[in-house]
Amino acid sequence: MKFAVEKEKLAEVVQKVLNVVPVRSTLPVLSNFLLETNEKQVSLKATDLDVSMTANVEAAVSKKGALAVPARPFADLVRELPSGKIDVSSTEDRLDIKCKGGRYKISGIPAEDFPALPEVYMSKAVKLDGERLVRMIRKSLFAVSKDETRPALNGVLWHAEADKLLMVATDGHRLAKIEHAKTKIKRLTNDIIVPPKALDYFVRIFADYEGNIGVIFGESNLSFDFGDALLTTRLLEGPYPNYDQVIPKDNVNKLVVARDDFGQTVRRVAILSNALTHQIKLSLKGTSMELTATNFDIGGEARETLPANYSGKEMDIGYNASYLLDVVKQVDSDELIFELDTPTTAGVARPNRYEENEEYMFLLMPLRLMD
Amino acid sequence: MKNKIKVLPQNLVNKIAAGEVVERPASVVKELVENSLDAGAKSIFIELRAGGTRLIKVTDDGWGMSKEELLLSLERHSTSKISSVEDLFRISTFGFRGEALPAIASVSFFEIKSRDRESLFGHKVVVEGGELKSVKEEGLPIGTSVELRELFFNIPARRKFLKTVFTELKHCILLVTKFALANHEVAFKMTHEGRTIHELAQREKPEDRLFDIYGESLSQRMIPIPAPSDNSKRDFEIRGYLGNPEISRNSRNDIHLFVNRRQVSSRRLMHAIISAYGGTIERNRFPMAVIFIEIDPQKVDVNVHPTKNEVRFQDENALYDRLHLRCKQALQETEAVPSIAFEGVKEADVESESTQIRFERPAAKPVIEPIQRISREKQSDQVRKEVALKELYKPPEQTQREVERLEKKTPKPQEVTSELGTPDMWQFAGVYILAQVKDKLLVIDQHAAHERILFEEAFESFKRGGQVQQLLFPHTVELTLTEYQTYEQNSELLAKLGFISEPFGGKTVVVKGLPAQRGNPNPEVYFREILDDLQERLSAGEEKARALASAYACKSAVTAGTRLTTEEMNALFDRLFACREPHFCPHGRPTLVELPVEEFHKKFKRL
Repeated sequence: MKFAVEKEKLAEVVQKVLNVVPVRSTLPVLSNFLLETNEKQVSLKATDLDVSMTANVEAAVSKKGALAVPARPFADLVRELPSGKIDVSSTEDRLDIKCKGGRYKISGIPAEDFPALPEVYMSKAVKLDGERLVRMIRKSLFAVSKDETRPALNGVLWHAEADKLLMVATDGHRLAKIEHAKTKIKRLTNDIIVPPKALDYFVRIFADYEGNIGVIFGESNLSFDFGDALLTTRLLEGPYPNYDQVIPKDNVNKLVVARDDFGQTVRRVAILSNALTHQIKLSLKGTSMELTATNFDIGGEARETLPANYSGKEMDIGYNASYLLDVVKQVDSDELIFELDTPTTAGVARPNRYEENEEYMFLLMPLRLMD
Repeated sequence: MKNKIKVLPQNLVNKIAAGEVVERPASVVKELVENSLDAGAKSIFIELRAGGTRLIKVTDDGWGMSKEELLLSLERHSTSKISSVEDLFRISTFGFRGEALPAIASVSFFEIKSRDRESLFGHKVVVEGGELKSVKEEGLPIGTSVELRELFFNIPARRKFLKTVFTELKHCILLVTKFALANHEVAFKMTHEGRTIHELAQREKPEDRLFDIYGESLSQRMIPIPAPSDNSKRDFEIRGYLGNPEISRNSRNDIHLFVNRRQVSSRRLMHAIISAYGGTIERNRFPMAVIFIEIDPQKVDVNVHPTKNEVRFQDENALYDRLHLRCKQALQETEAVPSIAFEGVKEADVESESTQIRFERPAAKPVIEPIQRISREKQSDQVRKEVALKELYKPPEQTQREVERLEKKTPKPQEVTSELGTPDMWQFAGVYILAQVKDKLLVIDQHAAHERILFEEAFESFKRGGQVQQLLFPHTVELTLTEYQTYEQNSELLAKLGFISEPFGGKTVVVKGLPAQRGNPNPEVYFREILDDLQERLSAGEEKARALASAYACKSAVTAGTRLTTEEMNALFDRLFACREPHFCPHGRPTLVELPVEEFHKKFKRL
């Protein structure tokens, strides 16, 4: 393998793919990049067996080849190299990097030992608005379960119907659902469950791009085509729980509260809540609401009232403060609406107005109050 | 005075035999059900009261006995099952020693009714403590019914050794469950105090019975052991079902081993099964398994002990190897044993890496668990909780002195705050939290410490009610019979602790809320773990509330190997020292050790 490449361009690609290299792995080979050349390009590959990424950079290739090299030292080195052209060549198991006045060598592993990345049928790509995807992912990702014993909940459900794309995530305590009406995906016939890691990478990587992104729905993989980079993730196996069934349709007790005030108050009150359960109590009545919390370990007590518009049965309802704050963070209207039924059943939280073609809501299960 | 040697009277001989055969109600049930099965019964009804100590009644529809046979059956060493020494070496019936009935009759108020096919009416024989009281004719259906009351009424010593009703009942249930698994073509009904425990119809296939007993969710996760690929005749045939590793249990109680349909216990054969799972189940967890071994009766000796629980095999090693292999094959075929298959990654690499971990591979840099260095926030004031249940926090006797020693030496948390603004904390090896307190290094076992905290909190919850996180998706959990029993008996305390659940028909429970402290576990797994652990502790004789508190603490505490954040470590530290007894976990293991700085000075030859 032998090629010449602009340092700046290589560094950019290296940083992008470095995201995917696992920090710790029981398989040492995964802490490597695979460097590969074709006629005009060098491609850089990394995988953690769940998510893999390939990114290409233009180069003057004089001899084709491939070698896997330790990702972190290689990335550190490339970043620190002086600007301008660098020459890279390889022997059977060593990479040789030459720049103005400098020469660096690093041991590698034969390319055959690097895991093969899943095959992706680029021709089947569907164009989707990247910004839209980022927005939908952000609003659902936070609710994904981290408990590995329920694998289906460890991802975001993508569901397409008519001209709607829907994303749902839940951890069994809360649920996020967001849909966009003008997003038609014919190729997405079955629901898929996408692991959060890949979605997180997508959001991060997309920061460098704009416009449409190619999305490829494979048999057991999902890929994002950024043009010069390809991100692929394994999909999770279902079945996904029947989420529609648990969304209450006729919660009549309605609370309207200013989002920012509510968020700040919850944050303050939560400081003196139980360190593990973060329980805070909302007492709802007429034109104001009261938030209270206690922490026996430190003898803490918090109580604050805040103006609100409540129509419905007087009630005390407990919530995990961090769940409330997650919702506050995701709602982008100035007012937050809660639709409640009883202190032990699911409550709906939503913004007071939506952007065009978009609709989203969050479900929260209460923390039952004991007296 | 010299005692003359004499032959013992028959009644006394029977009582001595009873000592071997009849250990507890479950052993009586075992003998009676075996008799019923040997009599070709298609339906067996077992009634119990007070765990079988008050009443055991077994009714069958087998071929029954005539008056003469009935009376003879109560004589020692009378049996229809063998007639010559040769028969003894090829036993295919359950019973054969002819000891059981007379032995049982000698230690209870005993009544046996039977009618055979040839007779128009049956006979009822009443025996009290081994003495024949009456023989009467009676109109009866074909079959036999044995009823005994007040087991061990005349052996107070034995009666004293009986465990609680719950424990005795548990043994009976386990026993009947085993019978039911091995005899799917026989209908079983079992009641306790009039309440139905088992009601199992006749089934055509063994897997249908498996379904009846373990319910849908568990039985679906049982893997059949496939028929051997070659048809060559073997000395023994093995068939059965293995639970996949994810439904592992915390006791061996769900490993059912049958040799020629006889339930046997054999640690060695159990080992053959358990070891087939390799590392796929955690240490101290056990698989579920139902294994039937068919073997030529001449190659197995069941006459080892009167209870016939133990058997000896002519070639145990061969059987061990074969059983181990078949189990392993079955597990591998269904890929229950996970293996990573990724193109280009050599299988061997995966294995060696996962077993010996790190520092081995020259190509990769060694992966070192980063030590988390954390600067602690200012310590908050400790608020001591008022806990009345003082005696509960006593550590085990032998460590009492240790406690006093530690209490003298370990600084009180208040001192920590006032004299040390910002002690540092590290997590070490994913198991221990290291903290500097004055000039000492405190090493805290994160699991043990958390257990202590949750244990004390559980008692608070019993008094005031715990915080409950309601679940978005209510989970139905199909319990086994014993789990269900445990659930029912403790449902009130469970609810106080935060397990919001309701019976959902049969042995199914719907779980709607869980204690909020635990974070977000898999409700089904968590609920079952708690019940299993609770059951274990109850049968070890622990008091209810204490058993539940320990089960809850043990199953909810962070496990060794869990990485903790700064906040979590801080909270753990604070709350540990807010405990009544911070130095020991509920089982008496220490939660912390301290290393004075002098120790280090010595090591570094500064002193």
